[in-house]
Amino acid sequence: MIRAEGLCKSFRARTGRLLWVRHGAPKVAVDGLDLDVPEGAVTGLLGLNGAGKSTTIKMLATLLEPDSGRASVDGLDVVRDAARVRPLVNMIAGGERSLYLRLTARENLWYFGQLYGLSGGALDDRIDELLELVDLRAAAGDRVETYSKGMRQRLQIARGLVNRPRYLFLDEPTLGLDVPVARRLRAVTRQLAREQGCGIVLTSHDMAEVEELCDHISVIDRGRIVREGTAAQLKAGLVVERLTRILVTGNPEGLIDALRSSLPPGVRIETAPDERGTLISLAAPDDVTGAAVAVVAARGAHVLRAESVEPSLADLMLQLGGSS
Amino acid sequence: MSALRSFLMAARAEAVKEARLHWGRGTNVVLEAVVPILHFAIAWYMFAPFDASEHVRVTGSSREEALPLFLLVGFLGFYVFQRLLWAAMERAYRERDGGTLELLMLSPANRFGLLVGGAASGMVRATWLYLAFLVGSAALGHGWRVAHPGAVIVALLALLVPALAFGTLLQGFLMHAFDTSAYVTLSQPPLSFLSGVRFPVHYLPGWLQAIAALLPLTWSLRAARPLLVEAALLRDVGRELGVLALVSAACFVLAAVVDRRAEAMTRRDGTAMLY
Repeated sequence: MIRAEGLCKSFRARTGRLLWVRHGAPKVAVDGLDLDVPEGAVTGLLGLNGAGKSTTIKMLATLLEPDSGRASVDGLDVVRDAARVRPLVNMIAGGERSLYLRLTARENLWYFGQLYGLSGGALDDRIDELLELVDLRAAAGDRVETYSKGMRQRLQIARGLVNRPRYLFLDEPTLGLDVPVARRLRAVTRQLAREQGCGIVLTSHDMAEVEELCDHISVIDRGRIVREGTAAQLKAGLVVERLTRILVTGNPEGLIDALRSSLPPGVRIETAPDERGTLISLAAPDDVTGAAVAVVAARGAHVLRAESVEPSLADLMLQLGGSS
Repeated sequence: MSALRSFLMAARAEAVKEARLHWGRGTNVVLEAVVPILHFAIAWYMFAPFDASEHVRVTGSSREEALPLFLLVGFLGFYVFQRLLWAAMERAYRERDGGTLELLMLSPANRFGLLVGGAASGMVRATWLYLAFLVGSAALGHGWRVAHPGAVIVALLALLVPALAFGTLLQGFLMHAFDTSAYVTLSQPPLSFLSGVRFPVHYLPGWLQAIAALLPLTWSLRAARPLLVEAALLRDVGRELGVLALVSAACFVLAAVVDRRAEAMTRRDGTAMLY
């Protein structure tokens, strides 16, 4: 279990160089954050840019020292016992950096494996296993500079797994990846958590990815956890309008007035021409799809499509954006 | 895993990685093969007008030395140390810019091993430079005056071991530094001025001599010159070699201390700034 209690971190911008370094006013990145990350599950960290997600991950991974508060990995303090924590964790970040481009995939994995104390046949076997996992075996002897973005990201995944981490930090891991590669990464992530008991912390701007993977989600805003729960719990707690869209043939006269008179007050109704007819959008505090379809049918209009749009985690992010 | 094994693994991994990164390209191999010869040629033709038979009595020293060879050894030593300075800068810049500095910090790898390995990768270049000067000068007529073939090896070690220590120290200083190029620019002139590259150190004022005594290149040249130019025996340079060992050891220790403090600062200030 990773446990963080009251973590705080501020940064001061450096404005000078060499002998005349000046520090600007401190900027709070993480402000009294509490978090639990269990083994065998995927914990999501959601938040807008600058909310403190990456800073939190770096503190848990021993890359940053908290100003105050405490964090531990399986009971080991991330500051005091950093040397014992490091073999237990690893990190995979999105983007194409963090690899040695002039080395081959195999050489990269050999190097990082050595840094984690692997050597000889055990390291060779581990490299083969990882290359197979990320489907890079055929290109293992090619220099990484010749790789596509997706191949580099797959190699990043292999690099992050080289030490069989008990806890893995995924910071925007599918950033810029095409659909098949992102899907593969998600499958690997699920497998690591469910089958190998790895505790995973995921940050992502892809809400569908977060919903699909995360067993538990913590929402960070201005360095603090503002909400947490499963994706369903978070969505259920949202105070957002439910949206109904109905596509009808033609432009039936009087239909909108009928909807206004039949539906509860406060329902906003908008129409837009569609190549197959008219698209009617209804926004209301509650779901009015059934009642609206009944009104449309009663007026004799032909319904081509009707849908009720569920609130999503994206709405949650929009709410955070609106409040900041 | 024992501390020694951890150190050796990290040093080996780093040395191999750096060597692959540098020597993995055909153009680099060609350049590395040619540049030391060019360095020698520049130094040689700069000093060729001097009469090699003329010996110069160096004030404060009991020895007389052939001026061109005195300068050639000086330039050889400077180039070796300068290359390590550049190598440390390149590595620091690459790790920071390439996003791998945080991965090194994230790993449990022995930090001192990484520093030594990074510096050790430059030893192949240093040895080739040494050979280029040694063979070039002998072939062109200014023969070295060595008492024993073994003196050539001792002179090489007198350059390489302190160079490794100096390179390790530089790696420690530069790996977590901003603006590595500024540090390198600031470091080169004092290295050349204070270490006796172009003139004997004892021409300097006393306080500058005290600073010069802290630089490993000073002692490398004080040991290598007599061995290569004056046919000195090992016992003749015993004191210089002893001091060289002490200065090198101090560089290694200082490198470990500096790197530890610099990494702690990076961890505190969040200045790796990669992801």
